[in-house]
Amino acid sequence: MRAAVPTLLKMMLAALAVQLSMTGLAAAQTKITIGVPPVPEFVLPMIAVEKGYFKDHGIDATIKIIPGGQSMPAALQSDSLQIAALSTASLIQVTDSGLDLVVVSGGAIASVDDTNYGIVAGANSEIEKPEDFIGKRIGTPGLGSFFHIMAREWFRRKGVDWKKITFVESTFPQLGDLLKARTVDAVLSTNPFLQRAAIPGIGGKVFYIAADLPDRLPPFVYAGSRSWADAHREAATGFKRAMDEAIAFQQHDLPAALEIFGKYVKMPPEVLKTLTINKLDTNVTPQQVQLWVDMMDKQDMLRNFKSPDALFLK
Amino acid sequence: MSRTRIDPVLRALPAWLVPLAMLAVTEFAMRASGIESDGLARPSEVATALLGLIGNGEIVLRTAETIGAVTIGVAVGGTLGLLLGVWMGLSPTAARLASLTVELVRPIPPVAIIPLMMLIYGLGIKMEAAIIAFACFWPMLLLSRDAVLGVEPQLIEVSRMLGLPRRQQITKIALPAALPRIFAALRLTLGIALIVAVTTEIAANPIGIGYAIISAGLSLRPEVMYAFLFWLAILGWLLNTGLVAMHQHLFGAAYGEAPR
Repeated sequence: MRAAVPTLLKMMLAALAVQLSMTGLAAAQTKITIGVPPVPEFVLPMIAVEKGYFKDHGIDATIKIIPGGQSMPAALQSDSLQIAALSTASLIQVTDSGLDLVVVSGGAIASVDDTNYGIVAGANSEIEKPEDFIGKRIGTPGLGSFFHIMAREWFRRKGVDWKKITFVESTFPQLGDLLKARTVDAVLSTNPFLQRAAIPGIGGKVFYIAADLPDRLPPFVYAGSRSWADAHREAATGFKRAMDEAIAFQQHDLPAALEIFGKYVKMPPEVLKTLTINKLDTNVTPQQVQLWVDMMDKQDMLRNFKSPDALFLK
Repeated sequence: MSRTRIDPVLRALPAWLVPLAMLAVTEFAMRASGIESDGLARPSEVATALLGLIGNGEIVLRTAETIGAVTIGVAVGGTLGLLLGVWMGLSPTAARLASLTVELVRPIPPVAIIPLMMLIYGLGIKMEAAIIAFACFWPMLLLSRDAVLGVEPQLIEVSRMLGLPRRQQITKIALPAALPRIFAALRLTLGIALIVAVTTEIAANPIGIGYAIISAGLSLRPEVMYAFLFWLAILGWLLNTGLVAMHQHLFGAAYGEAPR
């Protein structure tokens, strides 16, 4: 009995030591909240959480699904979110307006063979070529959004004056119904909404606009406030590395990646199965960001934006 | 059938029959037309979704988030509005000095201050409660000011003649006399608070019933979206019914029926 007491004491002390070391490990993790919209392109942080890639890089991440992207910049600035998925156009615009945000990681790349961004003409709209859009109404998810900017640039490159086209704002799920009801002549959309609007009888010709836009255009990036990114350089680097591992996972096993997406964004199973994901890439350069600046400049959207270099931490 | 026979039957019909009939007609019309939409759902699908939300506890969580923000917002904004309103009702000087500021700031729509509140408080319940407090402050201020101004002047005069000190004039005479109207103001304020809470959640804040509505809509689950909308209607009705009952319980006998 006498021998048992010190043994028990030793075991308790050992257990306490293990507990303390684990607490120390947990404390070493940088806590972050990541804001992403409910779209499959933003599956990477979800994979990185579920597969433990963030933990491996010293990050204790929580995902917050935020519909639309309008509130993300303010949430970053107020430190409610440490990292958020922002459209590159939105990042440029809010920086132009004075917010001090930087790119933490790239997100996706729109290549010229991309079929994820399109304008679906109505089944009986008689729209067959870009010029046919003049005088028509296009349902658009967010006026001034990166979709809208891409579409206007596409029309410019096709020699069509986009000012002669009426863009009508709507949410993604309503676009198909608007087209069906002929409230609009065409809709600008992305998957899975694009596929649903393009069903025969509702949609007619589909114009995949990325084909005529600059190659390797980054539609969105992951951004943080400069002060946070500067103070947490290790976590910012770890974030990008974890995202690279998530890309490898997504490329290796798309159904598993979509299953993870379904855990965060509850979609009907039949829709979940049809989802596709753009080419994802965490690398983004000031030159790629400049492609957006050029498009936005032509659309008179910027006031005093200096250089995309300022969006990257030195 | 004669009129005398129909009238008692009509009088016996319960009010819930109207929404039930509307739902039945909608269900029948949607089934008959075979309508397919990403934005619509049949009432039967909505009912199934609602049961699912009750079963998995999501509706409780979302409701708690919204009601939590409403409670804090009404408590802060309502109390401040009440205090300032009573002060303005009792003091003509305070009313004169505050009138321009009140009329300048009051027309600002609460949703217009969402970006500002987000920068100050970030996402979450504090930001939402601050917007609700802003929305509730003004009606509470104006209605409690009017409630105090509406107190019979003779009552105040009698209290003065009796030599009651100023503080007791307020606590013993003015406030009790204005209380039923102040309570009616609280009912109105709660309705406004619920609208502002859900609007804020739909527009920016990822919590509560509004967030659940917009999320379900964007993830192509219209039946869940309408289930939350339906629940919101029930919640509003429950809140109002509860407050009407409380109003009648507290003031019914002395001040007549509460307006419904």
